[in-house]
Amino acid sequence: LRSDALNECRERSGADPGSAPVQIFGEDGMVSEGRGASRGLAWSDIAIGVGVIALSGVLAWQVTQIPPSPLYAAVGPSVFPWIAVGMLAVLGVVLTFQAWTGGWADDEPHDPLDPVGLAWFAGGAILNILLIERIGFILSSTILFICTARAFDSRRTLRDAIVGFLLALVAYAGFDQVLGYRIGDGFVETYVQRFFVWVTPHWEAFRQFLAGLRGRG
Amino acid sequence: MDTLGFLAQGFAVALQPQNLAWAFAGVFIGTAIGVLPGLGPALTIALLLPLTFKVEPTAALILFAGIYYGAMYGGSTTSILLNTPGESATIVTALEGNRMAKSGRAGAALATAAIGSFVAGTIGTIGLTLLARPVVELALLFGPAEYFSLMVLCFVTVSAVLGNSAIRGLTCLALGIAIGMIGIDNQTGQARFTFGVLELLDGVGVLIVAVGLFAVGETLYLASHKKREEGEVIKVKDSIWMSREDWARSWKPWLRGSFLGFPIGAMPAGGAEIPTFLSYWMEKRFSKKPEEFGTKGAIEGVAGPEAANNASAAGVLVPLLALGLPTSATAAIMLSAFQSYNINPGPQLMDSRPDLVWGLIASLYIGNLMLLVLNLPLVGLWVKILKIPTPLLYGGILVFATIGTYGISRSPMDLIILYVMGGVGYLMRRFDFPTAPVIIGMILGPMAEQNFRQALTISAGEMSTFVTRPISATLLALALLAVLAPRLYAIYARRNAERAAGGAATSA
Repeated sequence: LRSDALNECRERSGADPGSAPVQIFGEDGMVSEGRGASRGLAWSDIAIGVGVIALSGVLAWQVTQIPPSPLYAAVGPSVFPWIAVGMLAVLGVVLTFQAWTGGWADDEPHDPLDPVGLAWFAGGAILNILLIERIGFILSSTILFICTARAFDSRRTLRDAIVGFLLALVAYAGFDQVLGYRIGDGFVETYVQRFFVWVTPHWEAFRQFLAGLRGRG
Repeated sequence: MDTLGFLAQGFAVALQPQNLAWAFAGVFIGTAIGVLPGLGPALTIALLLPLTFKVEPTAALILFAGIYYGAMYGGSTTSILLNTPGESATIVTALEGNRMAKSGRAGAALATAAIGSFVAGTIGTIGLTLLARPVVELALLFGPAEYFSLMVLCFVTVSAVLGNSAIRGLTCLALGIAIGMIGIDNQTGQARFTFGVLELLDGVGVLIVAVGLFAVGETLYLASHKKREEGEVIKVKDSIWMSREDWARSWKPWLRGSFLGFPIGAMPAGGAEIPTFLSYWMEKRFSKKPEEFGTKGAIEGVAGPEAANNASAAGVLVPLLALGLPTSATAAIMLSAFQSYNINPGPQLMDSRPDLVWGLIASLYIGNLMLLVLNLPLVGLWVKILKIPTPLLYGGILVFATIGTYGISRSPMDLIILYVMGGVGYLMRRFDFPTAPVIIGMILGPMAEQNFRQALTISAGEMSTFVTRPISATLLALALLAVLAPRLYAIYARRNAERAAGGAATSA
């Protein structure tokens, strides 16, 4: 019954039965590529299959590093890791075989790779890891924000910088004041903290003033 | 005390002013974040987890329940107006809803989705209320062997039955189990899969993996495979009040969708995908105007699947609250939220903290009502959120991903794990691997191991305990059937088709 329903949806949108349900999308009905007979070896799919096998190898080495348990255990600490590693190894072989016989990654349409977008994104992420401890969360997040926006083809860097900075500032201040939680220290953070120290007595005085007004009324 | 008594007690908790405020905050934030394209309920909850710091558990869970339902509502708005569903369950809503919006009926589509969600959410929550106690009674018959078998069934259905490919689903499940094993083994104290990295001894948080896979991975995918043309947000031109005809065409699909979605959601298989597709198929059959499907958009095709989606969301809470068994990525993240308060859902929790469980259930009723009131008149506000420029939207998502990981631990190692998971999420998206099994495997893997060990301790090392205990054996048989049945059916269907083709050839 279920596969009937799925096929119905696909047929309605003009897709090949047996193709992925996500394919229902597309501006005017359907973006169907179908399995072309002329498709060569799916190298990227093979890389994925081999990658899974390699991962299982690395993890298998890690399982051998688990020391035997000094305590008695009916099921030792390596049993379930071995099961996961074994599954990965077998499935990696099956995936490689599937890739060898045609692959699957192009069953669904993907827009072409944009290396520039990828590079900006990766650059932002790496900078964030490197900088967050040195210059603090707020400035590091601003840089991350600018790079990510740039990865999405934004050319308005000043706007991105301002929006990113304000967002990080508000998030930092909100965490500090509402949840009592400090997201690290840094250059801007020091000034935010000083501001809070400066404003707290004034704020208290203001509240007492309000309370006084209410008491008189 | 009976169910009604517990529910009354729950309402007493949920109706306290500050808890009402939490519920409102939850549904409001949940809708606002859920509206953002590409952000489903799982990610919404993961990103908002830090909000629950220093909040007492009941309030936090009420907040989550609101976010959970709110994100479902928000997602349907996006599907209808933008045709970029945040998750697989809203695919069908986008199918007809977006066509209705294009032919100038966006208001009616939004209304039938919102009211349908309310009806289904309420029916689903009633179902949850009624089922919770009986499932707990059933769960008391379960020992570790039964729990282990139930988890095996859950593994199989989530990875091998749902989704496009059993092989890829199982690969993700195995990856998830391996990630779940990282850190110190509870029972023997040995470090596993740590690669000598000190920070990995504590294990890897579900939150980091979920945010990495869903937020970072999705953003990376969108940044490096850009659409040639931007999707356009469709203006709501017509009234959000449905006409008499719209009501007449909507109420049956709402009910049918609810009664389809809740039971399927409550099964260990979980998931909203199957009931929404089934509902779509059913409504097309029953519709008096099937010609509107796929052309100008049929209101039944929005009403039914949307109801099924929300009812199954309530259904998923049955195994989560009564058994402690998460059957969807969202449920897995909610479970980890419970665990961060040292609360373990399951039969014991129902007895030890009824205020918590029933307060949560009661707040679902309230949140649902709030959402109905919030969504229809405020649709203009949600449309504005949809118009945030893409670069700013994804820049913001990454900053919040940083807060959700680094902000809590202040460890750059967590950022590295986050981005590595983002890379994995990207590959999974590009090569069509499902992400939910990773999260499920990560949470259920260690739980399955623990139950496996306890079961073998009880049976004095006798492996046959899993097949000699009747409930356990039944569950394992179901798991086997779930793997084999679709394959056998496919072989049978192919053979039939070949025979028909062969017959046609000889007769010609």
